[in-house]
Amino acid sequence: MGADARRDSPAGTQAARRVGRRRLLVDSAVLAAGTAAWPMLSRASAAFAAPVAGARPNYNAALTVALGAPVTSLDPAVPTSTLAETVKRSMYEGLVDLDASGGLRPGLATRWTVSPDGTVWTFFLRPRVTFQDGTRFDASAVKASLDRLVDPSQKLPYHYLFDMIDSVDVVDSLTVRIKTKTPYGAMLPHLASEAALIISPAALRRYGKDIATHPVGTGAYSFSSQIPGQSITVKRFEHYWAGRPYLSSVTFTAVSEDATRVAQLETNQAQVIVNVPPSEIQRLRGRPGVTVAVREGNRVAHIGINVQKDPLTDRRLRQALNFAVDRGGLVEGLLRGLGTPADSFVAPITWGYAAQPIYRYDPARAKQLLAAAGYPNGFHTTIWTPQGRYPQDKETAVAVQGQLAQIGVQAQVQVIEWARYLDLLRKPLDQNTVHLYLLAWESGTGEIGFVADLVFRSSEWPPKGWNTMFYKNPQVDALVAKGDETVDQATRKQVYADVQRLVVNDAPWLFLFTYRQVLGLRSNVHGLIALPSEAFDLRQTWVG
Amino acid sequence: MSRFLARRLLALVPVLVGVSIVVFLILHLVPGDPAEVIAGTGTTGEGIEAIRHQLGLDRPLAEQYFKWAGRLLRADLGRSLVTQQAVLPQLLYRFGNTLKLAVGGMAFALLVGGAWGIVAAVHRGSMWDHIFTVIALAGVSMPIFWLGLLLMLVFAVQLQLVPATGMGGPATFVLPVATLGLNATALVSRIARSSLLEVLQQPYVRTAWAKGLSQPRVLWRHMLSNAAIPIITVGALQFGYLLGGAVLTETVFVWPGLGRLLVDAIMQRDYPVVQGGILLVALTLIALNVATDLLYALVDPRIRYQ
Repeated sequence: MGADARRDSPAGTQAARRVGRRRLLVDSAVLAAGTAAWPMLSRASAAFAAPVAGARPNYNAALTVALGAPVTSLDPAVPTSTLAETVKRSMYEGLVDLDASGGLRPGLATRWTVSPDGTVWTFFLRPRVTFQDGTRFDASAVKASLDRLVDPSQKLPYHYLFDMIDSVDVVDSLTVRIKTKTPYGAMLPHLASEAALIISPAALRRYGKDIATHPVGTGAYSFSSQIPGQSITVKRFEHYWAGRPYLSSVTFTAVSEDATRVAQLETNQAQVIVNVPPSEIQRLRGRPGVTVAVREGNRVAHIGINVQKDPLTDRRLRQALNFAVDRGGLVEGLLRGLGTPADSFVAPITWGYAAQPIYRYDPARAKQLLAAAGYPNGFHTTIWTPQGRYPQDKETAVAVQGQLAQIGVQAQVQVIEWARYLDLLRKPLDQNTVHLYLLAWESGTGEIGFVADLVFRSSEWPPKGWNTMFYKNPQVDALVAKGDETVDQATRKQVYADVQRLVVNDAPWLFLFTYRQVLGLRSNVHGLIALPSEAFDLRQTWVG
Repeated sequence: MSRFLARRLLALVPVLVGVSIVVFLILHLVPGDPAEVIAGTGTTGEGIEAIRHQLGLDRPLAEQYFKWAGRLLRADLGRSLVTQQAVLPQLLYRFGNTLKLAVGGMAFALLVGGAWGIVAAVHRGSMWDHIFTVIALAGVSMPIFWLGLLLMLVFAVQLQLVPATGMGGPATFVLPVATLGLNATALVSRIARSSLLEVLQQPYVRTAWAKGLSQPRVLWRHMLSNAAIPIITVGALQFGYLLGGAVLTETVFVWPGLGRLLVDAIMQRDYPVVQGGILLVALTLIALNVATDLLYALVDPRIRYQ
């Protein structure tokens, strides 16, 4: 979740559906270039999609998925890498589910209602569902899982997503009532996030803190074995409520080397691989038995600007930086077209996105702004970047350095190892030495509120939150607070459109681009639902 | 001999204590916080504090060290901060896998490299000598990483003779062992060649020939046993290097070995895993040194340990 993990979501407003449709169009355009029968074409529904005509699922098939990084904790309440979410979602399910287009749909709850004042949510649970350890899924199980998150004494990292909850009450065995302290607009996306996956209460009692190594959920696959740092295997849960899952087992392996993942796909040692390097896409598309699928991502690369450090306290200079960068050029040159120039702080597929196309590449305008701010000859600064964390991260910083030099801004690029990078970014203002830094945020809940809350409110300056720009605009603070408390999604969307307008104009970021995701699949793999995050849903996946 | 062994083993204790302190301090003084890495960017300062507290990282440094060292005395290396798994079984499993790879690579290097060296020395200046020299040069110069990918592309992806990655049956050993061993092979063959050539000039070899001894007998009895010391030294050094240097091979071939685990753990600041792993590596290298010393005495009767 956040700048190094993620997910997807949104509520079913008309507006959200429009966003979904637009993304579908973008995706089909990309897909037309390839051969992929991409999962998103499978219409998400609670029951499994019917197999494609001509191919039948092989119930003996096992699937190997090569992820880019080791999966760390399997506790839903602990944030992990983005990819770990795929593993968690193979074993666990939440009350609210995510569909391929980033929408919300019934999960373990079949329907829900909210009181007119927006503070009481009632969830009606799916009957005849059992956990993998045989425990019955009911209202008390939901209460146990959610109470764990809500209780501050548990000190769970994802507690902050649920601190608005006042109480979780069992109404009857299949009805749960959640009361919030104030109306809360992002309740459903939060419940659909990886944090709120429902854990077997018996397992929670039995394993306590060790639940991370003994995961038990209601999902299609149950935990089988793990080689820490290397692989995790899950096996078919025969009593899965939605019918017998297709695959006998799924093994997730950590393969950090791009070329190795590609070789595994080509030799059929892995049937699904993530992050196919752009340079390999053309070649793989020509290989028989292999499919490459591309889709829009949720992550926005940017260069954060410490707005409290001279001279970048002056908004005109920050705007000048934004005018000096050719986003389209970066996407073509660095990402080989596998990205979209950014025009907001969230991606087009994130719920609440509203385009703010104000910084077209215009070096002359940038120079005017520099001169107006009293720096006609530019100034010196430093761009920090991690290396290998995001696609082409260091290269992006270097390219931006080159483009800034065109308007006279002399930037040094400094590469910093990730653990130290986080440490340095999160220092409080008086100890913070950052000027410009590359990061890529995505909304952990698939909707704009997550990023707005964590990154742009002035209450979130480090060390508390992630406002590492030390940005402060009272109007933004007020609007974000309003967005949190607005349950009507159309109104809420309007509030966030205003937030985006203000933020883009204040330019605490040098906006860059969103990444596209590239998956490699064997052609006989079907029904893989990729969420807009790097996570995917394997519940309907089968091998022909 | 036994007194020598006892002395060496006793000297082990301060070395290991020293290693444990140095590793602990270096790790904790390096900027970067495991709680921040674990939390990533998905949580707030409070969440990070919560993780820090859960992991005991908010305790004073000395307390953390003694707690860790105390458990160490009971052969308990603690749990990984990241995966929450016990460290010791994880390390032993990974170490075993790396050992398999290193032993395989070493055997490959000694057999192939040794044979090359002998042929090249005995037929000095011949075509074979020149060919081996070129191959050895290429072997030493080729980055392991690149060599591994190259072998994988040719033998696994194109020819499909062996699996590309993973650890399983004998076939899965071929590529990683060859990758890891080739570099060492080149070195061993060069050392074997030059030390044999040196022995070849010795008067006792001339005497052996003059006595009319057969070629194998001169080679094995007189030449190799005298040329063995440098080969053993380089072999032992190379073995240590293989254990440590296996990380690239392990990365390319997704081999569940120690090197890969340690690199990941360092990146994540997973203190217990790194500390335990480095201790294990230190212990192995010390054992390797002692074993090498003993091997000298075995090969060369002039060497005696008091």
